[in-house]
Amino acid sequence: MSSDSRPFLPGPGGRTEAARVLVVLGAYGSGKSEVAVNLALRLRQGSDDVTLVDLDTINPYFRSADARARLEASGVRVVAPSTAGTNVDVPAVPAEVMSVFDGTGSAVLDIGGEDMGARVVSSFRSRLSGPDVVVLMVVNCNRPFTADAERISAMAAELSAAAGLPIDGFVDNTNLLGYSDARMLLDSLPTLGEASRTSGIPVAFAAAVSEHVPIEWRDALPDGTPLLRMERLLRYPYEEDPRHA
Amino acid sequence: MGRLSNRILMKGNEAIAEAAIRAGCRHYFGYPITPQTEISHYMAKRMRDVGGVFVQAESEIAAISMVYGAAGAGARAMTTSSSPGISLKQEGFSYIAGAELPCVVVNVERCGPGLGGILPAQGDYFQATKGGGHGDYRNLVLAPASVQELYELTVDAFALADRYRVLCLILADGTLGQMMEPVLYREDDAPRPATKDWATTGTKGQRPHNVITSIYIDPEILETHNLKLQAKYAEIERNEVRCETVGLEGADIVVTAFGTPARIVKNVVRMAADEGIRVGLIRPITLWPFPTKIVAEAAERESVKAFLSVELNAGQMVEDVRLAVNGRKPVHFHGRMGGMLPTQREILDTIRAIVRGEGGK
Repeated sequence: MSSDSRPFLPGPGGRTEAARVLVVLGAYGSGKSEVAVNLALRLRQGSDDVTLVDLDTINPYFRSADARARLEASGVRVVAPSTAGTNVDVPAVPAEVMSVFDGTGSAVLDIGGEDMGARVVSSFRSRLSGPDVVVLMVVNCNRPFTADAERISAMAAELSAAAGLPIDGFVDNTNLLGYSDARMLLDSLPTLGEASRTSGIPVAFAAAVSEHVPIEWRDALPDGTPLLRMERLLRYPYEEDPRHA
Repeated sequence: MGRLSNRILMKGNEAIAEAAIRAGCRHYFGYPITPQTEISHYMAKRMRDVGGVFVQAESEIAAISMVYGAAGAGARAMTTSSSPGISLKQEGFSYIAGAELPCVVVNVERCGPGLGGILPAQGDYFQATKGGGHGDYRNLVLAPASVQELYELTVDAFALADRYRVLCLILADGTLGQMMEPVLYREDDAPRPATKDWATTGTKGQRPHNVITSIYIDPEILETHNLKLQAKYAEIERNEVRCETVGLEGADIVVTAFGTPARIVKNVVRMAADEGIRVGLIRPITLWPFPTKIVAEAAERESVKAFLSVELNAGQMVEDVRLAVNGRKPVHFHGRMGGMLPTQREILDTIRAIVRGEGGK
């Protein structure tokens, strides 16, 4: 694979396809990290030089750096604060993050939850204004503070203000974790559509764990919305064994 | 799971906060500490919507004292914290017990001792169930093991606190507070008004003053007060034990565990069955009152060779298990500390060793 071939990414209008730096924002527990990690893996299919930057200063418990082994095995570079996965809850930003702005490779920036997390991005705002930067907001309509169009739009305004960046697209990641099915993703489309109309932010694509959506959909929902099929990367010993759930 | 469309995906900490609001809590006082700060965050947003009171107190001690005041005035009041913050509240716990004030406190445990770390632990079992503050008192201690149960037990905690005029403590761990799972709100969570004719709501010239206090000058009166408290605790022990049991019939080994480790053990039960070892589980849902009778009855079973307590500490609940087993069977222990979780494999290895007669300590 040559490093200058464009990575394939879902998204209408060519914007996301041409992106070099993807900034992933969202409310707490929207599935940002899962989407960010999977976007990095997807980018890696078309590029030799992909970096996942864990900029989550909010939640020290579950974070994209937990998937480090899987990412590095696939050739994705991981930049995370030295405190990730430790007993330290000092909000730290890795200095190495600047390397993605100066380099030519692709990068996915996983940003912490809500306005407090998004504020971290504002310190790099001047480096995030080019045409090759796309800012995505991950939305799960089954979460309490993004359960309807009005609250999704309000959350988008809050995140955008904190980050100091316009949001280019929504990622519909409506799910109930292990209890997800394709129906609930389809049911969320009208809500996202309404949020799109009120906020002016298009739906870039939907994202779902691959086994929760029909194989025959391939890379799009029946209405044509592009679909990022995700791999479930993080499992914990206290989770129900899916064979017995 | 029933109808999924009614479920909402919540973090454990959010479920605690929403449950409190739905149970009629309108007075929340807290001071932030990882891994439970989402409770305060959620309360700050939601109390505004429901016309309640959210105060970020100047300290943990102030927060528990505000709970004392609000509960004394008859309000459903709550504070939440994590281990080091709960230590600071222990003086308040004792005063609340003495003054018989109903309230709810949540401890989303992290690891210690001291400042320790932010990751999950169960090192506060002794503190929660044996005291922590001074004097002869008990807290009613509930130990959820899922986000749905965090929600349900928080609702129940307000009713139990009101019924017995005690502090009801939810003992969770950092993993439970941070994990996300689907939650179904129950229909019957609307607050049932409790008659609180003892509360300081103002006499309006119609009745004698109510006094909220824990000081009694006369030793005979103070002993009588203590005997009344002890009678109340005995009633709680008779009525309120909650426990989940899995596969005790024909079990070779009985594992005791609460909270997150109990979830890991449930997976181990199936793994052990695959290799012909029958493992039963006793999961106390009330840590005080402890399900002593259920453990004792399991010890009487002929099939049961030994007990194993799995905890995120150096061995705390295992002491209550040993008291209940009372020497009838060997009681082993497997624990992790410092924020580490045991793997399914290492618990299974300990069970195998016990079956071979080598087992644990």
